[in-house]
Amino acid sequence: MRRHEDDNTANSGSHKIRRLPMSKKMAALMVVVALVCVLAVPVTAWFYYYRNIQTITKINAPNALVIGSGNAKDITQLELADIDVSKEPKYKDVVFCVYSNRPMDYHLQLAHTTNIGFTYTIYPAKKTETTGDILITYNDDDFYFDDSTAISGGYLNQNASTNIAESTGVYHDKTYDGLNDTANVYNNVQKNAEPLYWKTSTPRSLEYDIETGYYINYYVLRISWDSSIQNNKETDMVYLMAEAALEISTE
Amino acid sequence: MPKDSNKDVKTDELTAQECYQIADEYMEKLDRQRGIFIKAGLFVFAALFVIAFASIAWFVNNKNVTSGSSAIKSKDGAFEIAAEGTLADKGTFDNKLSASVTQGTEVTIDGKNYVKTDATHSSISWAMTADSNIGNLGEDGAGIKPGSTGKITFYILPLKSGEMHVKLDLSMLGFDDKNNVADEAACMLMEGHILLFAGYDNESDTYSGWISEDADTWELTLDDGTDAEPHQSVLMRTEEGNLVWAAEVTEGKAYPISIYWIWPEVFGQYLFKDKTYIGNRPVMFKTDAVADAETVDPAAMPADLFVKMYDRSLGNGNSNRYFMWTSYYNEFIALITPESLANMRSGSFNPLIYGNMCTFYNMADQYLGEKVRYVNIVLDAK
Repeated sequence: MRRHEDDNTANSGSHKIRRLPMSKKMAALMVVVALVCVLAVPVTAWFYYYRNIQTITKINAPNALVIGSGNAKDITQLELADIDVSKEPKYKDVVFCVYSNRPMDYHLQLAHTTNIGFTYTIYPAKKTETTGDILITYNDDDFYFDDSTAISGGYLNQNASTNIAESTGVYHDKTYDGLNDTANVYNNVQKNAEPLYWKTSTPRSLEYDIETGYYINYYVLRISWDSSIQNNKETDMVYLMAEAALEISTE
Repeated sequence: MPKDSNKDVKTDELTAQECYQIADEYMEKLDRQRGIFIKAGLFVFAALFVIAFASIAWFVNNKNVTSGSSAIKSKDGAFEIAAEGTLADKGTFDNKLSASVTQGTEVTIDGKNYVKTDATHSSISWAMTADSNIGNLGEDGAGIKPGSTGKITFYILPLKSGEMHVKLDLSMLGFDDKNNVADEAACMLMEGHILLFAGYDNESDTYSGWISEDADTWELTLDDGTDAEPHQSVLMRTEEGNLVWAAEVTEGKAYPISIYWIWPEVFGQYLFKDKTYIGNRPVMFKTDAVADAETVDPAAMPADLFVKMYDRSLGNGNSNRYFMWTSYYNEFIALITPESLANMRSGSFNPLIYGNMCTFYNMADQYLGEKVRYVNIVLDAK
């Protein structure tokens, strides 16, 4: 009897499925898989919530302010090494420039150590001559300047009596003094190694130059000395810097 | 011998030839079934493909359908996001946004106007106002450059009261002059040079809550500045690097979240804690991380940031997220080490070394400015 009941059970759904040919079983399976996937998409979406807000803005390239030697050439052509102080005249002139591809106002800065005791003076220069100007040929280019009109500026940290760097202030203490806050104490370096910092008093403006295609200012840096300076193989480090001062001028 | 239900034949009554014939017929039948299966399977998968994408497209109402599930939305959700303003408050360069980004819907809440998302505007352009923009205000926005700072604000508008957690994803994508995605190196530099913060202290001109892959975990309490309760929410960066906003919210209110953006003009703004070292420019990390602290200071510099600044494995071999060295690789690895950066930050300031460090940062700024013309800032809320 049990066997007959089993036979009846066997004639129900699962047995009917087993009796189907393989092709129909496969087709049925594919339809079920497709239905499951179709149902899963909206169900998943119903649980997953999303909002988005966005904007877009423009990026402006920083305007590089570059220091070069004469005629916007590479700064490595600025030759300052090995000055013979026994020769006349008692000065050496070099031409440098400040340039950019956009009009710009900037401050010119000079920093130097004080081992030798040179005097540094910066004069504005140009490519065209005005009566009374001095000619300087530098890297095969001619420049003109008036050595009676240096650009205005001054030292930021010069001691009026010693003419070397002022030995006080937070920067001096942290960099050159170290242990003590006592004036005229240099625990970390020799006193002439602390640089003097010079800066223009008012910003200068670049001018467009057709020949180079840049906005450019030329300068003559005169390094001068008096008879007290000897050829004793001392070395000084000199830094020329340019810092953008104001918003970019309109083109 | 395979059994055929239609031919209940005893095998021992068949000849060898008949057996071979039955076997051949069975093999042919299997081949036909396999062919039917393949054809049916192809049709079913093709139909599944079409149905799935039709469903996705129907939900997102988006012609530019991708296979990413992040584009799927449901009909009913817990919040909308908005920006203060009206439909007239557009960004200067909004015409360069994807066609799938639309303007939102105007709404007024507590007397203020907002432009918000809704079921049919799930991806909207950010309304820009004088108090909330990124150099793209109105018709005359000039964009951003080194030294630019500002903030952009968005609002969460709960659709029901109660406890709410929203996962936020803030990202930037750079495009060149031809509207193509900018090169990988430039995009990576963009992440390290155009920074996003969740907090800013006006009095000290310092930032907190850095939103970056290089940031540590932090938690900030945000206050909407009103007296109404509840008015505070919490924004946090989790261990997993997720940005999560949490609050006890009231339906129908607007909860502000401001993002403070800055393109540091000089490298010292990352490095120093004292703004007098950097010409009184804003300081980005005014404190140092304390190991094993109970709570993380959101204004602290990430503990391993200098290690990441020294990492040369990212990028194209000429730059990473912060610096570009190109042919000066040997100089870079000698100069900008985690130790030298830490020494500079801790007080051993050397102007010559600092100046040389800045060179690598400035080169990166220059490259970024030349290669990326537009930056698309996207906030996803889930």
